[in-house]
Amino acid sequence: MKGYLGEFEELVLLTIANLDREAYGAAVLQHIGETTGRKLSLGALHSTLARLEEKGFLGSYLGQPTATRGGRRKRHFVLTSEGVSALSKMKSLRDQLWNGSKVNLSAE
Amino acid sequence: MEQPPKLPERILALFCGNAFLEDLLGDLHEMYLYKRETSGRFWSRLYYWYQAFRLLFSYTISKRKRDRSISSQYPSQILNTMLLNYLKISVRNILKNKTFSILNIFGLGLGMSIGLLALAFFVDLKQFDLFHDDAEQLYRLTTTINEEGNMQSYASAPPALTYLADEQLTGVEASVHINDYYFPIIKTTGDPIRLSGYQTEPEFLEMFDFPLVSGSKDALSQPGLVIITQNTAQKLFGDEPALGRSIETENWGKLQVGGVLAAFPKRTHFSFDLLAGIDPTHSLSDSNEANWTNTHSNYLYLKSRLTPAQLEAQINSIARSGDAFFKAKNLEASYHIQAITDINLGRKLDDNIGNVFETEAMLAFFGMALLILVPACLNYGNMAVANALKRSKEIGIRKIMGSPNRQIVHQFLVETVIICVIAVFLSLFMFDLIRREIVSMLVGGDALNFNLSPLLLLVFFLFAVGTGILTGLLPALYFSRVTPIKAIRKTISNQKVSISGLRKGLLVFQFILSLVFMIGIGVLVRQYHDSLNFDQGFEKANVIVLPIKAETSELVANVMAAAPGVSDMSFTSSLPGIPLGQALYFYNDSGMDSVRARVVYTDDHFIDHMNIEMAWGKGALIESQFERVLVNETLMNRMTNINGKGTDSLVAEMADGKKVQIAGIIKDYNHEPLNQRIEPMVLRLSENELTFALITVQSDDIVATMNDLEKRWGSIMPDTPFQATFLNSEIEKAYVFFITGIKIFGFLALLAVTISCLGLLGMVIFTTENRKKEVAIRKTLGAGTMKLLYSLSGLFFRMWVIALVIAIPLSYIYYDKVMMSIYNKFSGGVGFSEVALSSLLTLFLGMLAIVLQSTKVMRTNPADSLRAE
Repeated sequence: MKGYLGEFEELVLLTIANLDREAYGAAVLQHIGETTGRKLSLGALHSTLARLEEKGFLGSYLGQPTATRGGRRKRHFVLTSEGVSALSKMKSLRDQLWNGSKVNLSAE
Repeated sequence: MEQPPKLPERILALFCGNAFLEDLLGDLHEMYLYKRETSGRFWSRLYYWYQAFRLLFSYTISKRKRDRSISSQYPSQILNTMLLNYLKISVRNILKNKTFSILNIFGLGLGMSIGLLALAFFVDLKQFDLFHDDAEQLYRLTTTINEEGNMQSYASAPPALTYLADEQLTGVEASVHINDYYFPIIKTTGDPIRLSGYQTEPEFLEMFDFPLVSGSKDALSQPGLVIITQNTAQKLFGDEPALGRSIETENWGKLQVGGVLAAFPKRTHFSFDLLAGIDPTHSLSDSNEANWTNTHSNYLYLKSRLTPAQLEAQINSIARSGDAFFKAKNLEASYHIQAITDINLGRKLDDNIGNVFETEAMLAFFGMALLILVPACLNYGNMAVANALKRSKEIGIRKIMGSPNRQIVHQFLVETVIICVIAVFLSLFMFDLIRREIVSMLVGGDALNFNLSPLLLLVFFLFAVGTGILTGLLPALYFSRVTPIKAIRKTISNQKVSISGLRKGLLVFQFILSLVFMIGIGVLVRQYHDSLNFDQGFEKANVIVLPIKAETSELVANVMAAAPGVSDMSFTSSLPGIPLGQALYFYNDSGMDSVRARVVYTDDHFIDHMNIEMAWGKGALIESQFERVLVNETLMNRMTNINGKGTDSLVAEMADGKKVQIAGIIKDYNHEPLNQRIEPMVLRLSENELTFALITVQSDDIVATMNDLEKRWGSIMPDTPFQATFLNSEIEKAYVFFITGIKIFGFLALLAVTISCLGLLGMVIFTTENRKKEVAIRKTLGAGTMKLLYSLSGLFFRMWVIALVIAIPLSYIYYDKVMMSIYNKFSGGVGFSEVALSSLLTLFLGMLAIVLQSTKVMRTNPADSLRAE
């Protein structure tokens, strides 16, 4: 099941795209918390990250240790080309559906 | 900078093993600091705990663990799948070769059963005396006496020392003196009941966990009061309350029951029927020589938190004051402290109290178990190797597919372990059958219970697994070394067609064992039969035995003699043909020497009634100036010996100071069972000791006569049950050890025969499989079935003859010399019939194995065996 992308997975991928080089566990969690107000656990986030990695949408590498983390290294996540294309496919599908909508969907 | 709590991190690390955690822990740390900016310390910590906990059960952790495990050298997953695979293939193999598996399960099951017994024995002994409170703080004092370099160790200790220790030993919470020289004989109807017990102090019941049902432990501080066990109470009083009842004893006067103990676990080295107070006069006179050098039957038990070494140092310094007494006798004494839990399976000590089994005996038992188990294992190995051709393809393919030797070894081990675990159920069944016999054979065996506890079952299971590994090693190592080419070309076993001398020797040895055991059964059956039919020198046909109370003998005589069908009757204190207990001493004329003689009290009609032959004098006993007694020839000879030649006095003094006149000499006859030697014996006339009525019945309708007797008994003795039996059946009971012996020999013979037949079968399979081609060529050239059978069974015949040549003389020597030294010889010993029967039986079983296997080979089409070339 490579193609299917869940809503939360999409959110995580987009957040990683937003954070670019600074996309690691705690930062992603914090960013999602700030932008959506969702209260997530680290376990849930890392589970999703692990699944996305398995599906091939994400890659990761270990960064430099920093003092704020008790001297531990960060695991940085980056989008793979498959991740990018999955996101853009999702976007174009949504656009298509938005455009085809017979109901006025704008909320103002 | 503030740090998050450490514990969640440790839990994570512990739980996740070698999975990669660094980045996750870093994230957690960072989140904690971020949270700390807005929240208090407590909430932040709580948050951290929560996050760590959620992480613990997240998908990412399990994924990382899995990733890590695959890359490690001994992957748990692969091990599991391999194990499953081994199991699957093993089960298939076992099912495929059903005969082979069943035979092996049978052989190994029998082989392991003795091992189970030894293990049950061991496990039981290891739990001895563990049930007492603070069992690890209980010790006893032992004595080692050095007699010019010759060390002798005793479980007992000098009385003087044990009482000195009471006063001077420090750091001891409690101490108990025990004297086991206490065995009241209780008069009842029939045989007197012999009890054995301890004289001890009330603290005995505090130190050791023997709870009282009724009464109080203070009974042990009052003379004349005793505390009895539940078994004793049952034996003496039946279901009636025992407390307060009095017991009339022959040698310890009148005793009163001051307490009854609840049934306690059997697993203790103590063995007693009753407890009484200890004689306090012992405690005095520590300057008395005998109180130092005679340790007999005197024991000291201690409860202390000190180490044995500390106690030992104290005791040995206290004991200084007695050194002089030992010096005078050229002895030297030292003392040791033995933990109560070390008593069983401990070192060898003389003068031991209760039931003690020594390490040496246990080792001998284990040795015997191994002696039977190892041939069974080797047989399996032989058969498995002989069956190699059937397995060669499987092994060849495994090897070609790249399986290392280790995996082939594992495959075989798993298979044998499965077979052994199945076989242990069979052993369990055998174990259940023979455990009672074994327990009854061992001295003090009734302290063992051999109950199947979960612990014992676990031990049995581990034993089965261990045996499986031991058994599987031979075939496993054999097969794992085979090269794939040979395996796939089915030429594994063609390297050696002949069977090695060692294996032949092993088989001959097994045959000899089977023959010896089978002949043994025959000998025992014959001895048993002959013992029962032997003319012991008294009349035992149609004699009814009726236990009575001594004072009622006259009444019984009057009533019973009148019954129709009763032809004769007499009274005695002990049944002829049953072991005797009472004894007294006859002094010679000078009173300096004495002969120990067993005593039988009878009425004056006994000799005539039992038809006992007299060598001299008359059978009737009449009270005159001296008590007149009858003695047997053995006693007379001994008396003559100690009186010196010339004097032929017929007046003798007995130990109780009474002078007796010998009125007659009885020809020696076996008053006791035939396994006892004829001992000096004296018949005395007494009305007060007659506890059995012997009634000869001449009647066509025994049942009606018995009913009549019972009715008459009921009219004179309404309270006492009528317990008549036949003398013949009482005598039979005295030989019950034969039945036990026959069962044990039967079991051993079954073991040996089965194992040797399996060994033979393995060899026959090996030979026939290897000679398939030869047989096929012979057949194509026109050999008949009989001729082939003859050529195949030649080997077996040779081994059988060798076994016979060794086993028969061995049996003659063993049974005639060894058995007869413990049992008087009353029949021909090893007879022709048992030798012939057991030889033919082994021959038959051996031939059966050969014929079954060879016909299989011979029926195969020669073309099938030759085509491959």
